[in-house]
Amino acid sequence: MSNDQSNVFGIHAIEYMAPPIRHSVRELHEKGLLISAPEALEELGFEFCLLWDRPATDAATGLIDRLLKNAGIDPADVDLLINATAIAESALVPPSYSAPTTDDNRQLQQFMHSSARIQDELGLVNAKTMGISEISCSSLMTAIWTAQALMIQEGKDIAVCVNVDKFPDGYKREVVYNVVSDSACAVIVKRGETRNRIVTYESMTRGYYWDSDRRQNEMMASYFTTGSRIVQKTLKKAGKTLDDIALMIPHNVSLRSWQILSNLIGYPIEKVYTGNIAQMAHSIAADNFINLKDATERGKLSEGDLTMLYTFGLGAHWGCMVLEA
Amino acid sequence: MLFVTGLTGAFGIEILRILLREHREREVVALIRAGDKDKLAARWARLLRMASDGAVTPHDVPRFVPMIGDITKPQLGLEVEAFQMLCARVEEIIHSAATVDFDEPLDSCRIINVEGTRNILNLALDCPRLRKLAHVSTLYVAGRRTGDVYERDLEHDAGFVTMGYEESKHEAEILIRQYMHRLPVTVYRMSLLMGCLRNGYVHDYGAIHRYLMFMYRGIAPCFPGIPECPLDFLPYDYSAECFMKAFNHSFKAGETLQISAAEKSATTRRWLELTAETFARHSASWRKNVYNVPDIVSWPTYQLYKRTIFTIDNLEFMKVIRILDSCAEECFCPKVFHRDNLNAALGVDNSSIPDYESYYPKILEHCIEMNWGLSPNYERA
Repeated sequence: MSNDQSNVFGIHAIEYMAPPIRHSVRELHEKGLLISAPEALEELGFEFCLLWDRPATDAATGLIDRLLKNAGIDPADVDLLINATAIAESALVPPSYSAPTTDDNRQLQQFMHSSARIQDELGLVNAKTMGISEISCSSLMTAIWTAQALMIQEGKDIAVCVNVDKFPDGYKREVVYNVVSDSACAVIVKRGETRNRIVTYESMTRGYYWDSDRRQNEMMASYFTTGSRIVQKTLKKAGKTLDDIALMIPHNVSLRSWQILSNLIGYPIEKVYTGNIAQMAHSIAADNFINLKDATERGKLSEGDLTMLYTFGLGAHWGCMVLEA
Repeated sequence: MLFVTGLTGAFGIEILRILLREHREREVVALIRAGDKDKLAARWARLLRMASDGAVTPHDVPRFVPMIGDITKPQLGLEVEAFQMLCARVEEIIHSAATVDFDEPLDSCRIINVEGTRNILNLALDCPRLRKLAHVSTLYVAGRRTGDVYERDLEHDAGFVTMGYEESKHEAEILIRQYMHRLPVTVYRMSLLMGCLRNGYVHDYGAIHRYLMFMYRGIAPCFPGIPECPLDFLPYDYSAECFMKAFNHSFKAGETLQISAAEKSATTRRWLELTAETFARHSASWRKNVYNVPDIVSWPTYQLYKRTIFTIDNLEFMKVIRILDSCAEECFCPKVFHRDNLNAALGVDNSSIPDYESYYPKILEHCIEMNWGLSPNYERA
């Protein structure tokens, strides 16, 4: 633990990887991986979809390795590793990685968790590991908030939060009229970090929508009405107004839905960072932090600027975080 | 003799209720569309039963006579003898037959609302004993006008919200005015009629009711409009009582009376909030805030919603959009329908207008109980 005992936490580093398989919306349609017509999804703002060629656990290991190296962090200094996944399979090491010694031990494969394997592979010897799931595309943002809370509670300094998800082969690449890519983004949350300081986070779960298939229309209707409310709730908690927000960092649902939401909340669409939607589609829980990294690197943010990160996960979970650049 | 059209409609049935309650001694002829005499008899018996809560059968009111006819046809589709009988004996006419379907195109609205009215006026011209002719119209002949709308106002170039209903009713009023120097005619403009004051009963589910159904089911994400825009609506029975009192006791040929909620109209915001509060008493999803009050959105935002729904080709949302398209532009045209003539005719002021906070929830509760007209227990007017 460092000498810095302040309860200021910020995003120290972000790393992401673009999955290597790239299909256009038309190609997805030809492969039978869409529900809607490709023209409709193009009109909503999607052009490409990115897919992993390897299991999530491997991508996560490679990604965190790169994150720590680029940030100059010794793996032994990491106190906490949270593997945030939206898809249950992504949190597990595939069964093919270790054949059971006997048939009687087949059930042990249910405990081959990716976070433990990453700790072992990368030498995060002092890190507690855990997984966050069941909050769908809100999982990475929730993991960051959870990491901060745990570090405050336990006096720890450095956490790595990662989201790598891979849709099972053959699954449709469309969720509620959004094109969905596989994801890979990892974040270091660090005590005393003033860059991208975490100002506040607000979330809301409406468990009624656990059956997002049968309740899809209701959930869609609620998406906007609840979204505008959570934005206001978050701003109120932070003691800010939308005028204070220099940039909105979205999750990459359709551009059209962002046009609607920005109209609803009264925030100019020009200040919503939508540049990755067409090329990357909706990368499950990783979008916000991929977009934050890109926006920062492209000079969209100055020191002291406030950003609002907004996300939504099926189930249904709304999340909204304010950071100070 | 009183000759009435449109008794089978949601407003007409409330007129019939008053006639049965207060004017059973009068000779009343009701023009009703029916395929044959048996169907007419069945329809008439049902209508009397509904208008009297089951207390009256055709035998109880021998002076009330149904007659097969159609206002869109020359001489109302009546046999020559029947038409001549009417001409000879009619002293009062209440013309309330109309199409009130917001989706109906102008051409077909005109056939009923304009040409039907013309046929009634032609009948009236042939009635030497005629003392009163009431033409039932709508406040919404004001179309897209904003601001104060007085009873004397009619012609404007603001345009109309609904496809054909408003414009055809406007044309009918212009036609009526052309006859005012020749006939004792008065125009009664009705508000948006939602349900009954006495028990919330909805005789006919219109566009707004259908929107409320989708809202109750959690699939109405938005309502286009201005939050503070007044929404003038009233109960059927209150409106019918005002109408009959003014018609019977203070008839003044050449006048126009607006039976409106005037300054006591709900705002769009309060209307939606009150709807949500009422729904919360009957639905766990509303109580638990799983569903939200629809956002009141600007016209461009509504257009974005609309485009999106058409892009994704979602049939259920398309139904919502179709309803909103038919009427919601009204909520961008804030106006107050003044009712000085009506108040003078009734000897009241605006404090007599029923408070929507107390009666509107009863209407919603009836909608919920009757599953928006889909319940087997529901009987439509």
